[in-house]
Amino acid sequence: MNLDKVRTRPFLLLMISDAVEDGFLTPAQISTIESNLVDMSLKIAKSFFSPIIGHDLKKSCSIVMGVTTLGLLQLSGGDILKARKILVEDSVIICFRKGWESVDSLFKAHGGEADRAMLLSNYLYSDNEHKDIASIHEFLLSEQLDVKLLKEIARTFQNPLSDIEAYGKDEPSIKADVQLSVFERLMKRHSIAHKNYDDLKALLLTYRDEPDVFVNEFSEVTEAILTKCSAKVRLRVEGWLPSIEDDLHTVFKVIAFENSGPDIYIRFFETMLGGNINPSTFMHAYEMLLEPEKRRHSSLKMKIDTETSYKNLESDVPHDVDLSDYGDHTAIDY
Amino acid sequence: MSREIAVLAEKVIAITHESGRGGGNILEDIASTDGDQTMIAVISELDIMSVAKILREFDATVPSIAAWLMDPGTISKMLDVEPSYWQHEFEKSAFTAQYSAKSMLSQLFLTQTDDEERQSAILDAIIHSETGILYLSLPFIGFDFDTIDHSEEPVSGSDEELLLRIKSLNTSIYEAILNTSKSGDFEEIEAILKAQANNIRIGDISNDTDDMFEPL
Repeated sequence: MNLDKVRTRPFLLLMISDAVEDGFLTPAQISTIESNLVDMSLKIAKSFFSPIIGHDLKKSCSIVMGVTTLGLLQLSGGDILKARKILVEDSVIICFRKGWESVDSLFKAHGGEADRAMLLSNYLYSDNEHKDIASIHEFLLSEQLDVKLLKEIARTFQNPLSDIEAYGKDEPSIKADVQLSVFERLMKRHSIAHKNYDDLKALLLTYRDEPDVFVNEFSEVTEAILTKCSAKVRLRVEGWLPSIEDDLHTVFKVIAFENSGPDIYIRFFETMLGGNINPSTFMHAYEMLLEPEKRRHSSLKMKIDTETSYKNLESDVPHDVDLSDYGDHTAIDY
Repeated sequence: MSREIAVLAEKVIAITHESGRGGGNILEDIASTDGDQTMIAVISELDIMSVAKILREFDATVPSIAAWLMDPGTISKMLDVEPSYWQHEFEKSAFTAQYSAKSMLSQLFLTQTDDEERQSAILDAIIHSETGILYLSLPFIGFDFDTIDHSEEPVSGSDEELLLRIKSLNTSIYEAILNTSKSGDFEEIEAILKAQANNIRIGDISNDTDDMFEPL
């Protein structure tokens, strides 16, 4: 039974008040505990917030409560007798220090640029509520470690066909990059380069008609990719593979094989990247499309045009040109 | 200390707690009804945080009488704790530390300019504080000293005016400011000043908690 939950108070306060009631803490010890908690709160305030603002002082007290409670739970494993022994024979400072090790691991996971004051606010714990502070910490840490891991995967698998910068990617788009990377491996295996549109079409057709061939090749290339990854990346990426494989099966089935190689090439990669394709890497394929097909790729055409005109603008506009008139064409209605 | 002064000081502190400007106005009322000496006596009974809170509500355009009458030692102490208010100000996204320090120094050195002796004494007191030179230099980090035009009258309220005023009071302090602000890192100096101010603010903490941030 979680006493702290039942009595809706932090474990730390509960252990202190029970120890007082049972006569285990002398008045002198209690006053030491109190002054330690106050001193630590002041130090948190001056280090991370402002010691002249009442609100900040209150917040600092709540953080000390959270971190110290977390530390006491970790040191005692939630065992009431152990916790009492720590408070009676040792000090609240070592509880805080234990808890601070956790806080520090969260700081480190977020890196040097992170707003530490904001991170600390996750550990706020007031004296008349119950929080599962240990789980909160575990969640914060694993969440951030996963963010870091995804960034690493994004960097490893980034490719020029995707339109999104590595740092702006979410999990689905990182997964799409992995899928693309797997498929490029399969292309390489069959010596198909990015401009061999008809060969790619033939390969896709084979995969559609002979799923066993695809399944075998898929598992071979993914194994080859995974062996190059660190253990953590491997584990995370492995979790995506079944759905990547299913997804490819589906794509093979829906491809309109009556269309030309370049059309299939564009549609295939467009589908895999969820539409976020880098127009400049598809210019060549677009040019190779049959005339009627070009009309069906109007959005890619627009993207390519924007890209080209932007590039022209960059190189053609002299630096001293007066752009002030341009403001008059704004569509914003004030 | 007379009872009257104690009562007045208590009143000023209570009002300052709500508003620094209000505290400054009460001090002016005291000066006009009971005389400057009474006000000075009241100021000497205020805690230094309250003094800083009052003074930073005023600037060179609306100076506080308190800034004119406080003794140089108190002014120097006040500047030691003033950076405690920066964090809060920054969070309200009102002013930067650089702006705060410049505003404070302008109030001290760009008003009452006929009393050079007093301003020299203030400068002297500031420079004797451990971080005084850092406070004086903070407004000028990033300032291009080569652009100073010595032949022309500086623009009123400009960085240049403040700098030249300090130079005319004490050349060696001017040189020290020049060196510090050229080589100093803004964030580093701001952090030192804030840390010192916060330490003064929270007073002595027992050594028990010295290692609170150390791993077990």
